[in-house]
Amino acid sequence: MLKSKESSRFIKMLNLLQHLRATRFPSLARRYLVLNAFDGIMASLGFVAGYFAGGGVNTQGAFKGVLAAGFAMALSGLVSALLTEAAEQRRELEELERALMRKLDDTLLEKSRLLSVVLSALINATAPLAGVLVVAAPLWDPLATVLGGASAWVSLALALASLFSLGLVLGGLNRRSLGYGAAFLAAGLIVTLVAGV
Amino acid sequence: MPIAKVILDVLKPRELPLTGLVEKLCQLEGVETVSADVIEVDAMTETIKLTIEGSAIDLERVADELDSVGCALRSVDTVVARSFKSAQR
Repeated sequence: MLKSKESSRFIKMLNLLQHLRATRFPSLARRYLVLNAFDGIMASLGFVAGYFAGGGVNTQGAFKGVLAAGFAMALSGLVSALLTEAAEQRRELEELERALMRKLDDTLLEKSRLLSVVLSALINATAPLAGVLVVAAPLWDPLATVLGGASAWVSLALALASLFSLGLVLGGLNRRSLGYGAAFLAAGLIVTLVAGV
Repeated sequence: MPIAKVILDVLKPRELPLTGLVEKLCQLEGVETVSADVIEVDAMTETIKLTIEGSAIDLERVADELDSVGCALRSVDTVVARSFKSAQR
């Protein structure tokens, strides 16, 4: 009995995911992922470049600063996506209810929208944090001790490499994606130069 | 008396893939074939004619399934029942 209940729950979850795949959620998630990871990397790149160019020598101070900024971005991403997506999805669902002339409470359409809100918020929160963590990693005490004075340079290099890779992913890893990678890299170089002045 | 065939007039959201809906209905007990014809397309909805055939279609179960995925069953246009005698033959 318990097993059949579990399997029916599993099938329902599969149906939900299948429905999400059929809607515009995958492209929305991809956009959120790239945009927010880009934001996270750019913000921490600016911070690290500015901190060390301004004479900062304390890698732990820089690490904590970058991490705090990343946490703030993650929380901001979580709350903003949760509220805006929930409002937007509710509006769309009400429009659909009017078109279908029926309530859609507890249907696949309502559940998939709810799941899409939660997943969007999670992506919005984790993407910038992941970007920040990549840039902050060389400044983390155990790694910074090993890297010595090169830790700031490694952090900047990792940030620029991550931006280029993100561009490649956005372009779908084909010839055109080199253009996206170059554009993201150029944006990172501009931030580094401006912050370093 | 087992129902062998029904034709339903259904209003479905466009975001719901037709293939997924047909597959889901086909998995119901007593259902053997399901075909869907799109009659009218609107901005957010589609009117479809669902033809369901099988050995013993549970119409209530079909209606519940349509309800759970967000479709609106507008009318039951055709019902064909099979007598037990012909089923046994």
